[in-house]
Amino acid sequence: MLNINTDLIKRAQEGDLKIITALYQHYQRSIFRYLYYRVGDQQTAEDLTSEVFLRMLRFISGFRPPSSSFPSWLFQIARNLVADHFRQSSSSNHLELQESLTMPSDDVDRAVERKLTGEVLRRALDHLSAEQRDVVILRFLSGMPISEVARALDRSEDSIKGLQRRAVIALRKILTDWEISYVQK
Amino acid sequence: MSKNDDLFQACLRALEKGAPVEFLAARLPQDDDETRSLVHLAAALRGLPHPNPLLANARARRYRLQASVRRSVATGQPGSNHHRGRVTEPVRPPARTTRRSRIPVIAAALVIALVMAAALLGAGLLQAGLRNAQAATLAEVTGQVQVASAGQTGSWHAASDGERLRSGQRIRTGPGSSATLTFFDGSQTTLQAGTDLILRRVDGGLGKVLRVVIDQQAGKSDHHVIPFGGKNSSFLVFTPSGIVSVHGTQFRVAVGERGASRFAVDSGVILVANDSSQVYLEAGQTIAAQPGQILQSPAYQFTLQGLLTDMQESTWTVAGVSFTVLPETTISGNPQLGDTVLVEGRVEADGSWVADSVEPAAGASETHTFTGELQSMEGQTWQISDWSLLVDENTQLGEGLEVGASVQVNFEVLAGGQWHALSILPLEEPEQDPTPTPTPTADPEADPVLAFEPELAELAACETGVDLTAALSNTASDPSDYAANVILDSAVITGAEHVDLVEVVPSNWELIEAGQQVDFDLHVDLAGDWNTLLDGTQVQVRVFIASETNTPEGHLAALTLNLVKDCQVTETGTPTETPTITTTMTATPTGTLTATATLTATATLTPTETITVTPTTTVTEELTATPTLTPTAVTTPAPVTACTGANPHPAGTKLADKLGVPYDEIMSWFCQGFGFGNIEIAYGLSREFGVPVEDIFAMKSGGMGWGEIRHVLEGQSAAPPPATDTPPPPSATDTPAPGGAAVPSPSATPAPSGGNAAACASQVHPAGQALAQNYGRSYAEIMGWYCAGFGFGDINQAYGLSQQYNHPVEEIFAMKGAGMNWGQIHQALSGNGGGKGKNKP
Repeated sequence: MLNINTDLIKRAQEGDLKIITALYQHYQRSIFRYLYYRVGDQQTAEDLTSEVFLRMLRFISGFRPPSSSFPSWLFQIARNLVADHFRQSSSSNHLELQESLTMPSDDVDRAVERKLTGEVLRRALDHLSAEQRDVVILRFLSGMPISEVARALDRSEDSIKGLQRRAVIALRKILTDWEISYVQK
Repeated sequence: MSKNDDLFQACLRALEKGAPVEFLAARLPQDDDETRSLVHLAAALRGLPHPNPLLANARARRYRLQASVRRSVATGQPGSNHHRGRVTEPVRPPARTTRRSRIPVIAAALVIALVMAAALLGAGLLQAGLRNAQAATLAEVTGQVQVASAGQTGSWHAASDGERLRSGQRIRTGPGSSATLTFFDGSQTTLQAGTDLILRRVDGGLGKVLRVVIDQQAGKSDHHVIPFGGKNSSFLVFTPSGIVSVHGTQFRVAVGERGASRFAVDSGVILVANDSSQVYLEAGQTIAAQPGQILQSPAYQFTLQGLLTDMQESTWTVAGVSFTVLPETTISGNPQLGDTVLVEGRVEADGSWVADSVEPAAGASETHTFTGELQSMEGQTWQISDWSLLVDENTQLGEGLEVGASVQVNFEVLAGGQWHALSILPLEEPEQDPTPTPTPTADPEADPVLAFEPELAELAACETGVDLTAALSNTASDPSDYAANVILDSAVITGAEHVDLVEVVPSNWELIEAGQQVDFDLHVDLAGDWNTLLDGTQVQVRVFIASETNTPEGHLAALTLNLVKDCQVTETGTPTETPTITTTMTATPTGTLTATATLTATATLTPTETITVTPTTTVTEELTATPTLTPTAVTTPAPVTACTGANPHPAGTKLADKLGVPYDEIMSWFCQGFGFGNIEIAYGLSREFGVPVEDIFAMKSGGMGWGEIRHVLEGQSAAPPPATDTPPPPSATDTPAPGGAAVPSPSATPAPSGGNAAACASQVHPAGQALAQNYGRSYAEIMGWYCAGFGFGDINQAYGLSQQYNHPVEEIFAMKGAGMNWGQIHQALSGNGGGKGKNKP
């Protein structure tokens, strides 16, 4: 886990190329996945990821300690960009509940039961609250440790413990309603 | 915060540490179905394939970011501290700063130029990304294309551009769909519609070695294989009717119903083989094969597309050309008169045209092509494979045409039935390696001495992205000893299954002067499941000098990066100028959970004051063969420098001291792919139960988890001790493999050891069971070799090599029995090129 401390942030603010590159390397995948699961499109997620880090660079001089809030600050940039994206594209991120979900190649291999896929998951996430959705994406889909998720969402770890459990319960209900199987074999 | 929240978090922590979900579920309170259900869902979420940013985009983003930083610093923009002038860069000699700062940019441009020059099909290849020998990158995904892991056909997912396929994965295309796989050297495989194939193997090694094995179940694939850079390279395509082995060529494979296969070569040479025969096909030739039948002689090929105008019993006519249809001809789409169809077939020795396949055509245009031998070129009527063609001023003629040459003809059928040649071109020679080579002129007087700094780095990796900044120096002092056209390459030495990508940026320089140092970044993307693996899991990556114009014999310098999954300690190893990016697990104490989560084998998981979760996981370390290095026998200590960049290896030294075991012995296991953590566990079990450590490693290699191994050993230790004085002969059922004409004779085989004989007398040997299961052999067969005196480690090696090279295992045991070491056997097998026959399943 990247040890974000005041000195690190200060050096980034001073234009330390290595520090900034390290921050980029550390967060780019989780930022990308977060954006992908929000907007549902690889290219859009790529574009927004670029914008997140350019804005990071642009505004990092204005970032103020505590340094532990840096992940929160970065993900807030990502959330803002998602909101802007939906506003500009006028596309709804609230999809209608789909009664039937089949694999794209239904004529190739018709599955008897509906299985949990990335696309199904993305649609299900849209039915969670914003906080629940964020914790599922960061905790389970980006693989971030709980301490880092807590910093990213500006909450305590205890709060994240409760939130993640409630989020998974809510997600389970959605998947159950959709008759989506997720038990691994 | 509730106890349920704590319990769920403890389970998540255990999942992150690698505990299997069923193991966790079984240890929850019986009445806690709620938590059990949530744990299953959490595991399912974690196990889904998640998207990653495309490599090219990620790299471009980083460059833009870095360029922005540099501009900000230079212009004093917000976000920089221009007045302090502090841009932390490695200290460089003051001279030639401008030139040196240009080099990485030039080098980057050269890298991009090289990649583009190697692109054969345009943007798809660039998008496919840089070298990753352990995977093939998908591009130009069109329509319905799906990917699954072999053996998990219930979990297909939609494929996307940029996705990387690794060994064992399966890909299929729906109607009207296609996709292209690009391998690290630029070779490509394009799947047409209705194709289903498995990437049995895709990896590579030092010296641009590419090894690909494809198992094509159905459909059509086009392959463009770059001429191999390494002698151990291979590109094999298995079909139900035969195996294709290629050596830098362009060819097509079609597999129809009942396994009938057709192979056609556009350029280069391929070898098609099955159990009973093998045939070389050259450019313009084709062969149709049926399962279990001897391969026919190669023939020239033809292609027709147009209206089906006649369908007699065995003679059809398409686009004005008649051909023979046989019972073996693959006919799809139930063609009727008037349909536009595509016909592919061969020209028999008697000149007759025989269709191998007839299918609905994708387009409506007419096409007539065939290959043959140019027999005469007189006047306006030329003879090609006994067919007369009108040649006039409208005919495009290739250069170098001469009687006897093999040619490809594109023609049209005139109103009177005469064939008019639209083009006659010589069949292509195998393509040259499209990768541009550096400036060939070498300076014989220059004697550069290149060295990496650091030479060895060890990092504890908690995250899936690892970066290291290193330097390459020309330590020569004479200004005339410059290094020219330096190209770096990388290879994953161990733990390749955990690595998605290795990137060296920049990776080449036009010039490194004497006394000059250049920097580069080494970036490693670890596989998505890295976070779920046990601490102690290891990956070793090596960066080396692939070429340098002034030193044709090559440079030995290398940088070795050892990555260890260890989320409990801070970064260790050789200090570099890499800044304070520490991988520190800052588990915040909560008062109810310990910082280290360990799930004990017997504890019930309840939220108590201290929840300990020790994963006795089934996460195993597979013994991966890396043929580019000197392979070693399981029981024979390997040279310690065979797989490490340092001698001695500090962790190996420490472990050897701790265990009281020779350093060479520890490193021999390490070089075979066992991490130091596993080595320590193995020796511990060996001493606890009095079992040879080789047997422990053999069980581990066979896929058993440490818990299972302990369980087996505990059961064994309770059994009465076997006799050791008089080794009984193997029973009638304990015979070696059937049909083994090369079973080693007693004189060539070491006499059964007391240990082996005792095990032969016991009812069940767990290592033997594990190996039998791993290789799909009978337990009796495995034990036959064991009772003949081969250790389980040797048996594991022999069957592994037999699979790798498709070579009878009996002959491999014979070589071993004759005194050859595994390195020599490996060399002998790779020189044969395989394909000498199959082991019976």
